[in-house]
Amino acid sequence: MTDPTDSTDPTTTTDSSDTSGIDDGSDGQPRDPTLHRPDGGAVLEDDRDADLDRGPFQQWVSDSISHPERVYRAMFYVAAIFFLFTTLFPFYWLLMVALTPEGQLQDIVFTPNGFNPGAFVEVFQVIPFHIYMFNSFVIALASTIVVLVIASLAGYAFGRLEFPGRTPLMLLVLVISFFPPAAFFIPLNDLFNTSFAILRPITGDGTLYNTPFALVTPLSAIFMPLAIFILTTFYSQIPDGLEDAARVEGTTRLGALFRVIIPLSAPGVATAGVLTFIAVYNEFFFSFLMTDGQPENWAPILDGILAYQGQYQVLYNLMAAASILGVIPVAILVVIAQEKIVSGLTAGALKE
Amino acid sequence: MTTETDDGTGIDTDPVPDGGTVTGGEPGPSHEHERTGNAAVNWMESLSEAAYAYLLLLPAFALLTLIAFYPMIRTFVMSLRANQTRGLDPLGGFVGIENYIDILTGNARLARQFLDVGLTSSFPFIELGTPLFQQALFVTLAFAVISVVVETVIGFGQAYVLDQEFTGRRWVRVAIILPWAVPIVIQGMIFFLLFQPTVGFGSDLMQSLGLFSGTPLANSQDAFIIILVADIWKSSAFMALLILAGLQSVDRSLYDVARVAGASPWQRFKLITLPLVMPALLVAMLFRTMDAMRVYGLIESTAGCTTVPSLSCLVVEAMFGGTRIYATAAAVAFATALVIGLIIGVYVLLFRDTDGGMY
Amino acid sequence: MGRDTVGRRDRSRLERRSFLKAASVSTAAGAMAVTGCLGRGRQPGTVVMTAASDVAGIMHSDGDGPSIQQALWDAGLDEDIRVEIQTVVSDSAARMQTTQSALEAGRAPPDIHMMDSGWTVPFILRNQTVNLTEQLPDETLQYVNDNYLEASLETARAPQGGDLHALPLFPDLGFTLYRQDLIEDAGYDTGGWATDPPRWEEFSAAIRDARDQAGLDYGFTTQAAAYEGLSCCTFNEVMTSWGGAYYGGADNLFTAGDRPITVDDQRVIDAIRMMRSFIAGEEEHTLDGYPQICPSAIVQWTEQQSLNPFAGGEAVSNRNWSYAIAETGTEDAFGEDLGVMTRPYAVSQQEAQYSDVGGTAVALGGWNLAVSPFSNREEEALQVLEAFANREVMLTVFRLGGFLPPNLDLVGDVDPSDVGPVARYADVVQSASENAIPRPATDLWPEQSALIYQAVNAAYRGVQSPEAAMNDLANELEQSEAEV
Repeated sequence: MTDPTDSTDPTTTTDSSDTSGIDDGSDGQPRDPTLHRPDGGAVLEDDRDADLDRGPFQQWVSDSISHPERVYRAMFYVAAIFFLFTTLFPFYWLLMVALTPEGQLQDIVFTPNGFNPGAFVEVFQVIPFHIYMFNSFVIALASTIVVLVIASLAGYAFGRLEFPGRTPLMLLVLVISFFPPAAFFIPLNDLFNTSFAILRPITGDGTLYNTPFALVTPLSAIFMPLAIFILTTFYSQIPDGLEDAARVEGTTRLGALFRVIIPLSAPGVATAGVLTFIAVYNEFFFSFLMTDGQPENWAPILDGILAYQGQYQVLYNLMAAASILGVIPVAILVVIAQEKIVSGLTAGALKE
Repeated sequence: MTTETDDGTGIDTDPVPDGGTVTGGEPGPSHEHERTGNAAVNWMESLSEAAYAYLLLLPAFALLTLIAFYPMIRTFVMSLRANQTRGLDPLGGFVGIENYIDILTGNARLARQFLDVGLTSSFPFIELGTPLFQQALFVTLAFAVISVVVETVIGFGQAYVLDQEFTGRRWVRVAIILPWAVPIVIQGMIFFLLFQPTVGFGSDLMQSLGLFSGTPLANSQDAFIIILVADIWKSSAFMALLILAGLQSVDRSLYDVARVAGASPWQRFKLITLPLVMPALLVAMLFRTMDAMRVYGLIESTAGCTTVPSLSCLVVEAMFGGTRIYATAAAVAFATALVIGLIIGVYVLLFRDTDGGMY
Repeated sequence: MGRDTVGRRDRSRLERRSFLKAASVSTAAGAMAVTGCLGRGRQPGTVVMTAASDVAGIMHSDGDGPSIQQALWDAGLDEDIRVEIQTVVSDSAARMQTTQSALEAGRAPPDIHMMDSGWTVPFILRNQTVNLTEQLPDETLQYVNDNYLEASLETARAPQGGDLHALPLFPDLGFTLYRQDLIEDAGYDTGGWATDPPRWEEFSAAIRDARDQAGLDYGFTTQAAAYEGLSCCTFNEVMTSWGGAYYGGADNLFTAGDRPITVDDQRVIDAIRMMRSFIAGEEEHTLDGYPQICPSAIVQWTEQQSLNPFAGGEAVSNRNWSYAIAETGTEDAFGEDLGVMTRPYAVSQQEAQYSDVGGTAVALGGWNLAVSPFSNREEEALQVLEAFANREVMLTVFRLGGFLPPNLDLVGDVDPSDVGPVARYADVVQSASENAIPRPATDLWPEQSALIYQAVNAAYRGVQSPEAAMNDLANELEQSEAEV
């Protein structure tokens, strides 16, 4: 119930109303803190609560309206907690499965059904899981390096140079991602099992099967388009002026790429690197078919996890424990890389 | 503030700088290098812009030709021949596009069909040979659209949260990105066990809410939703990571300027954040869509390709199902690529004129 | 770690030990492979065989313990020839994929491929196996043909001509396990069931009463998920016990193309309706006289999931492979209370229309050994196979791994204390061998199997009526057969 003749416009109800007249003093006049409204309400000012007959909810709402930063803060915390819960709960549940002894896998909600931390040790006794992890790590690292180097060159060309055929070539790169990986399998299987004379001294039978190359090469190619597009996006955003400045000081063209563009696009490069690493580490299709599954033949982690499946009996607890252990190197990598992802260097570089 | 930022954004949104003025072969710098005497470097410096670009693209295209384009062509040739289940040669004679026609009309030798609709003369003019959720094209399209939309929204929210400054930010960041680090077979296993009636609580919970049937992993619709949730859980992290990288590249001072100018948070988002993040966001959505349309490992690990058929499922089934129908497999692979290409074409057309469109 | 030959062999303990064995074997093999790599090639006389960890664990032993390798040497294998195991994942479909990819690419090693009896024939038809009838010595072939289980041999023969292309390593048969004590408590006499199984009506009534009396959760658990196991085995058994068949009888199993399609026969539909009654009680598309004894979750269950409730004491009966007997028949588990028999039946063999169906039935599984035509150790590989066709080797495999010997007469020759509970049921195994129904393994079977298990699973879940599902299936199978 507002008095229309009143010169100020107090908030007295719980519906949102114009608050700007209260707090920011935009009418330019200092207000008398002792002003009262004819109906007994008070003019609100300076965070002081009025002597109004309000419930706590209405109080909270009015506080929120007068202090939007608090609301955003609260929303932020709610969102953060919600995201944390939804992303971490399945991991927690996985841990519960890992801790449950074999054969007692029933009705697991928040606690394991029994307690068997020995599963984490057993994982290594049943198969040499650490070798699989090592293999995966090496293959993923090699693929990431290959991808980042080659995609940087391509990203620079697509993102900063103008040449005929730029768009068609970009589309051609994109087309690779239209195909399911299985589409490439049969010709690649033939290729990697063909015996090449020059390789015979190195690999014994002259084929690339069972070497890390049998995995690094196809996986690098398959994840190359994403890296090229990410790097193109980020490289194209670096202002010309920076590169020109470096060239004037005598860097070569390639030098400009590696010494100026890449460091300035660190968030993009780190993101591309992390995504490629994780994708190769976790890949489902080629990892299984390009090696014969033996740990000494560069079988990646997928084969390791599948090794816990018997023909009729699946050791879920060991699979869960192995996967938790397998995620650790990746998590460490993400921790390290995310420093780079969030460095946001552009702001600094422009202050010449 | 330097002069570069006076135009308001500080970021060169024109992705291709003017050719020739600085990066072309200037006599100055290369002349200096002649003294240091590296022939290869000299040669590179003296290339024209176009030639230099082709040189840079050479390694990428060499690798891609060997691993991707050459197999692609061979697979296409395979799709034009007949299946042959006996004998040493997996392929028979040339049959043209017969395999493709079989696939589109629902007559392919597959347990689940690509597409199985017929035309009728009465309303609604289309009749389904098999239920919609058992047709691979529909399932894959529905999966891709729903998952990408939801993941983009959630990913954006997560990236926004991660973009703020707060204590423990580093660990929250790792936690949110962690689902992406999980192997697909484990992601599948988690949700498989969660919805096994005796092991996890998922199926009981959903059944009591009236949303699922008693055996969700055997029911096409329920299993579809389970797989959708599993994918959203994992892939929102992918979107978050890319969008975060984009958000981090935005100059903070722009927000300050906008705040001083009186822009509301929504206006700041719409006019500063969104356009500047758009390139990264588009790349993320583009690739996420393509990956979603090629979903296979997750389905195999959760409910199985029989319950939830996807396009990649059909390819693998045709190739490794035991009956050696490689020609059909190749044809399905190309049909899949064609469908994905059409969807991406839509993207390219829609976003061609935006700031993020480098296409 | 030594392996004691005396004492009970609990299958899960077995697998644990065999896993550990596999670790040491694969590290040893790994060391050899690495040295081989550096030394440019394998050691001469090494034959590589693919196997899962259960066989890999018993192929070699540390020290002087018994092993398959030793038994092979004792049987006359040249001491220079050594069998090296390439351990593969255990899942049958995954093994088919890796075998296919190896043979497609013409890759060898491996020299010997272990192939599931359900998918050996497609590889034979693709000329990707060595013809053993031409290569093995006559006496070996004689021994094999005279003594091996005929149904197993059929899965390893070329459909046209009957030449043997693979040697069965071990067969597996599907059994019905049940809690004798609970059923007898409910007032039924199970004495004759082992050799003379009851009809489905009597069986289901007994299960229902036993379950209700003992207050258990489940009556009968089996596998009915939409996977190969449904079409090859569990449904095949139920259908055959009703006198139905996929292709008009057991004569037409291995020749695709010109055979009748009989899945829409009334007997088959009745079989489905009976299963539907077991799952749903009295509902649409069920049969009177058959109570609800199966949990509805079986449409999602495969072997292990169906065994768990039974092993945990919450189910009266379970349909499973012989490994389940090893797990639940030990003294720590149910011991003598475990009853084992073949499947119950509804239509006897005399009443059935088609040849060789009707009456009790068991599904046939198991694994065969085939030699790769791309191997450059073909001679040695053939010698290894020759050595496997030997009584002592079969008994060693049975003792160490619990795998049934291809010559099923041997089951009666072994002491239960040596091989575990399976030997206690030698008579049931005999009966099973006489009533084994293999799956129609042809080059078309994998795709037909997928069509069948989809249709049957949908009918079990009530999504489609049995008649509609089977009519659609018949059309699809006709299309498939026409492709040959």
